[in-house]
Amino acid sequence: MNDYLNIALPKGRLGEKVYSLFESIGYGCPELLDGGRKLIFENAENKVRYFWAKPSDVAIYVERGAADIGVVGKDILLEYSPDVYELCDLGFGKCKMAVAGKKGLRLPTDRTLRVATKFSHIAWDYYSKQSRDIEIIKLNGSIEIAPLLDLSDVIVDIVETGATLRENGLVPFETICDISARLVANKAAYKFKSESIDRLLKYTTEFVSENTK
Amino acid sequence: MNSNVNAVRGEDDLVLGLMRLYENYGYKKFKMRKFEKYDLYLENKSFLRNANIITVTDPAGHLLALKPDITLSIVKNVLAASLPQKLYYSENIYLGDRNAGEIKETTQVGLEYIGDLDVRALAEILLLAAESLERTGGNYRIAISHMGIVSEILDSLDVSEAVKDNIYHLISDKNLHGIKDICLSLSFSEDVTNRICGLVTVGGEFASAIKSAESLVSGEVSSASLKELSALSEIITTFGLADKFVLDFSVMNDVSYYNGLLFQGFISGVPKAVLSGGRYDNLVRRFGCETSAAGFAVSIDPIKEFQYSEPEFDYDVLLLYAEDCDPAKILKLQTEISEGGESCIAVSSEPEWLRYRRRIIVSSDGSMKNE
Repeated sequence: MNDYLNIALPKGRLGEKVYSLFESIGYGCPELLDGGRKLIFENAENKVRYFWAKPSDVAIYVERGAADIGVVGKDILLEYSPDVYELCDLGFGKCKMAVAGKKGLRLPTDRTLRVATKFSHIAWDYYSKQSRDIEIIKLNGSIEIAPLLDLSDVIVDIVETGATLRENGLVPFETICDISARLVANKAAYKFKSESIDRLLKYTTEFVSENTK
Repeated sequence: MNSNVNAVRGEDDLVLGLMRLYENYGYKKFKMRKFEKYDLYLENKSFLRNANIITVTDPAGHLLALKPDITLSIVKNVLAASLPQKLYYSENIYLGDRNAGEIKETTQVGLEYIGDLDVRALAEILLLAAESLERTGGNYRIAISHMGIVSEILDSLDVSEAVKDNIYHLISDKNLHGIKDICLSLSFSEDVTNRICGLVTVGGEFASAIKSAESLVSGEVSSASLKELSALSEIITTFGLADKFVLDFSVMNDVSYYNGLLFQGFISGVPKAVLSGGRYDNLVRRFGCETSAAGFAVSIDPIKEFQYSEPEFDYDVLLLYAEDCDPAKILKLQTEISEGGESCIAVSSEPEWLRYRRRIIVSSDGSMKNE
């Protein structure tokens, strides 16, 4: 049981992509792709156990040791600062964390800036470095409508292609940071399974560097 | 062989065992009160970098803190006394958990060695740390780092404190890609880049990792640090503990306090470090004493959680008595059973959920049936 490598994958396209990477480097678990509603999959031969988790929860599973390693977006790592090792930038799911607002907006400097976002820590961090006084309006989705309805001056959100922003008459002003998927590991599990984690890390790093050439 | 009496003792066995162990190695008990002046933590803010300290005001209007840490209180108190001072403690600490929005009270047992630290003293501390984890009954590892090596590499860089801080952070996250990005953007030489990256890539089995750590030596301090690590490794091997120790520079703590050996202990199955310690000469010097000091603390609560297994029975004996029995007789029977070391519950009707090892039925005529 314990010598299995427990891997938390984010549900969805990113998770599937990461699985096919792991499969190609010898960590396959064929029944994973069978579909259905099952969430946990084991492969005795490769000594791996995969499970699907909500992308924003992967870091929690890893931090609390339910998974030894996992794949999680840099946005989640920045927002929640989980105490995990960030072993590798997989280069998948590339996007940006950006500040956006209505086209032609002049950022008010004489009053508190109202910022709507899902990522309150990232927004707070970013503006406190600029010594700006801001008010965070925490939303859980459809962030783009906040400036349109004058709920906020700007938004801090993930921008992939910018299409959603454009369609709503918004433009990105500043990039806060680049986001991509990261391989993370539990700090305690690493002490006991360093051999298998290092092996997977080595193959993954090789794969990533070959594919980003 | 009884469930409940043992459960009570089991909880304290670990703590008592550790205290006895430290006592036998010449450590004296240090008892402190719950509160400490808040100023102490304010003045030494980065010692407890991420701690959310709980404050209270005393009747005279002084701001006090529910102690978030023991080391500071010990260090500030014992310096006037004669050295060396060897102390241990078993105390509760209080920290705010911002995410959960609550105050967490946890138990720490640990020791501090204040005075000249030679290799023997450092090895004593490491061996006691190992023995402490051995007693949890779990498979354990102790990850060792040395600030002498880490800080000499980083001190040689001509960069701002913020950048240094960032690099420390990346090392403790084993974030190799992040480190490479920074080195590239600041156009560090290949030599320096390799050394910083080495802090992430060099590690693993203690004795062999120390050899590969030679590539990280950049000056006198790190050379001496490595020598210290090898000497410790030899002693550890003599005690048959070579496979329990690993070299791992991701073990980090604030440089303005910690300057030498640093270590963290893990038990397989517990997601976080259960033991952490190190050498903190810089802290002692801040309190005006030119000496050295090191120690460690064991977090008891996660270990208890790890050791916990649901008891098979609620009680050893269920004493089921008819309602018209002589109560004095039943009580006498209870006393006899409990004196025999078994836990017992006496009821006149049996609750369905109760799990017990054996049952004694006392009928109204006083006759007993053992089951």
